[in-house]
Amino acid sequence: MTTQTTVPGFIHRALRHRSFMIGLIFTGTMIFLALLSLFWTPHSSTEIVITQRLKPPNMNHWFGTDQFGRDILSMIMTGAQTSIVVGLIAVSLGAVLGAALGLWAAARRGWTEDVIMRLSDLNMAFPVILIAILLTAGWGPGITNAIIALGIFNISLFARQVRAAGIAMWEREFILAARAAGKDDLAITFEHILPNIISVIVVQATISFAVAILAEAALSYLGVGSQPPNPSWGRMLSESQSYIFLTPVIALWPGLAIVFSVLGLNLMGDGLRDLVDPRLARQR
Amino acid sequence: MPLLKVQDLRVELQTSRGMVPAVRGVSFALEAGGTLGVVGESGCGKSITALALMGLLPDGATTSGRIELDGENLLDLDEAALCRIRGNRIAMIFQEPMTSLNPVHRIGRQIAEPLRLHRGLTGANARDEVLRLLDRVGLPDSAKRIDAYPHQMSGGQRQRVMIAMALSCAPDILLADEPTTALDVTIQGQILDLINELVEESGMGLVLISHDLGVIGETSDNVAVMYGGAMVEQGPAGSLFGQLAHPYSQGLFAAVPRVGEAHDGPLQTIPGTVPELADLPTGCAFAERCAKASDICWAQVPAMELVAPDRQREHRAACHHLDDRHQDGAVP
Amino acid sequence: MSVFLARRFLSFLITVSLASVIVFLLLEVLPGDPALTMLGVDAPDSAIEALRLELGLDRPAFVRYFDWIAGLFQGEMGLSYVYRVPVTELIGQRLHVTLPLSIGAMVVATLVSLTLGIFAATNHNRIGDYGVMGFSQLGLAIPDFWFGILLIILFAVVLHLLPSGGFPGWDEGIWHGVRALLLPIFTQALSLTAIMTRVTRSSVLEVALEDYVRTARAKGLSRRAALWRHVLRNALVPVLTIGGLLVATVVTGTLVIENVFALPGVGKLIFDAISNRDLMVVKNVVLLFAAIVVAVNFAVDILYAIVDPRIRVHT
Repeated sequence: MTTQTTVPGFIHRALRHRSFMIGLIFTGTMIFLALLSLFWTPHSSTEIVITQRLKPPNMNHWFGTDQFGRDILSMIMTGAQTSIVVGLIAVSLGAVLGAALGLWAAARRGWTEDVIMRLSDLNMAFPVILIAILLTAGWGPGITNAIIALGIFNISLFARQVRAAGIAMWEREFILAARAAGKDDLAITFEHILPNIISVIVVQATISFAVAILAEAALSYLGVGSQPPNPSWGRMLSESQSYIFLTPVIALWPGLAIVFSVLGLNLMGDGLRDLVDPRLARQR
Repeated sequence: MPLLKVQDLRVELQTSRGMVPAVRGVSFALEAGGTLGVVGESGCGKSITALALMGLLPDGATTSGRIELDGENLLDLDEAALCRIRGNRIAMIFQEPMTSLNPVHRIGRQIAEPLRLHRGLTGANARDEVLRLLDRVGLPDSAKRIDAYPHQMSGGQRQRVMIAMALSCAPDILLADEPTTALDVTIQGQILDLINELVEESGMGLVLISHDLGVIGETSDNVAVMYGGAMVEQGPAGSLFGQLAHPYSQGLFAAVPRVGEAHDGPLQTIPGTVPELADLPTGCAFAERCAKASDICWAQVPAMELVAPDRQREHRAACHHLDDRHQDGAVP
Repeated sequence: MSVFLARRFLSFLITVSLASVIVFLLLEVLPGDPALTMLGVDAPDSAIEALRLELGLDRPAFVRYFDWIAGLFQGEMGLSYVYRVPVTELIGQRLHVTLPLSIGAMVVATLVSLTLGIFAATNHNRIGDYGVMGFSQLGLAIPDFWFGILLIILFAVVLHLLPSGGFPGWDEGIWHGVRALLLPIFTQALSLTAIMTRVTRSSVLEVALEDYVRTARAKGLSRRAALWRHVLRNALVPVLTIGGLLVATVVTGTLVIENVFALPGVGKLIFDAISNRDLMVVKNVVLLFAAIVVAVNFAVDILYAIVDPRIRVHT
């Protein structure tokens, strides 16, 4: 079974995993469009052209225009930037800090672990949107609310996962051997525990990214997240709701963009889980 | 007439590599009160045979042949009819007592389940019967145990519970699939003795499946050796052990170290490994590991033939080279 | 068992207390002067000072916090700054919308997901299973607010069957109220169903392959009987464990969906309160939501121990 542990072997299996590949393509497309939009979009995504308002999809505007005459396709592309940025920051925060806490909890056990787990429980009591609402009430709306709320939520999520995986690792015999040889906990954590659980972190990160995109969209829909002129799929949907009796199709595109991206990430995450550890797959 | 008669039973299982033959033409007969010991390595198809008898094969499996219980072919019956037979006329106990009991039901309830199903016993009547069964299988303190959960008992105790469950409706046939394999060596003997006692007392037929030659040797009237989904040798225990005919049987028995004998070199093994069922060769399944293999062995599956001198025409083996067999291979 | 209960209850109390501290800090301490937050930077100093005196905001944070908590124990949440009525009254009114919505959604989601989950598990690796899994993947990826908008487009814009939002009140008759809640209920049910279907399916699958199910069949139980008597109870346990996740989803959903359909529920109350800078309402309602999530998690732990007797021994 050597193909499972080598990198080329892994890539080979990944290429043959159908849902992973589909997820990869979807996600890759979204990222590509976002990056592309930094340099070029079919039309300006901010320029208001009242004469062109609420046009259905046509040769000039593939997705039509919104109530201000802005090209929807261009807005979708720039909106992807927001989703990705929020996702990236929130997940990185969560992964790095959360994993650190989780590793510490797994290594130390005892009351350190209790405190960390208690904090994590507390965190679970506050769904992301609730935290974002609190932040909004105190400091006003803005995209940072979304990022902080998601970041905090992710920290506790990752801490839990990493702790659970870490504890299982600590009980393995080769760790016992390392300790018997005189290695201290910090060294063991970095040299042995972390490399073995990195897969858990990567899978969780992919899935958290998807959750972040959904949450950012929900928050901007509610007016609590990203503010104009920052582009956002959520806000596009909120604005389009007033016009659905005139041109229902205007509400279609931002939603599809969200579904496309989230589906892509979820499929990738599930696929990664399968590829990395078939045992994990069965537990879910 | 024999209680159970199996003729040319064939089972194909659905796997990721397509349909795979797991049982390839097994035939045997079981008399009331008799014991058939089926021995073979993991993957030889002995468990699948038992599951086929119960009609509990995994989805997608196909079966052919005849399984006659009192003259009626079980393979012709519909699911409802089979449900009436399972636990009632044919019962089965499994290898892993730890996982074979439902962890969230008390054991009293689990033993009472077939009673309720097949005999309509409920309430106090059922409870009394369960207590009687628990006593019969030698479980101490039955009045307290009846309300216990499986995780509160030891492996040996759980297996006794399984036996009580299996015998609750006084079945005609008991299938025991590796009943002692998962138990401590010290407990194995007790459980085997219990099974033997119960079989003698009730006149049930017993099919005992094991990879352990000692277990088979102790209990069986008739023995069948399986390899690669087929029976390669079968017959009365005395004749079979007295004169092992098939090279595989000989290899199996030679591989068992005997207590008290001096050992000069490494333990004897049969070279090679058991082939995957999906990769069975044409011809004899044992050919690639057999010292006596010749061209005909690779080309043609050997048929069951009498092992001479068999006066009662019961000891048979499937080998092209029966005539030049060795004279050794005595029972340990 | 009672030790277990006591420890869990203590844990519950501590968590809720910490939650209240966090809410208080984030709303009234860290952002600075609450009076300023409520009136805005442009308000005249005199107005700010007046408000401070009226609400007792000149007292130290400690005192204000304990005052609040003491009030909660007596069932008092203070007066809404904007509406000048007790917050509890406001919540009570809004519950007439939020409760039917949440409960309706959970009922629909449970029925649908149990059916789909069991169907998928019993058709494992065949078309039915793939269909259900595909649906569930999609359901997880579709944002609930967008689904709501789509339903509005279909049933209100195109078919003219149901209202596109708003709530006429229960006084007009039960049917009018239900009509207004139909689309919201199904919208809310989507994410719940997607999650629960997956979990039900995988746990039924796992349990169905267990040896004790094989034993049950060997005793003569039919497939259906084995499913009901042996599989379901064990399979439902993992579904229980996600109860916490589910309630968090419902809470979040309430906030979002009441916004989509302009329903005067508790969720909308929070948003209006934020726009109006009504900290009293925001403070209490947010804590209420958090407390509900923690309480459900607590209840799930208890239920889990009841259902699986092995747990009681260890904790």
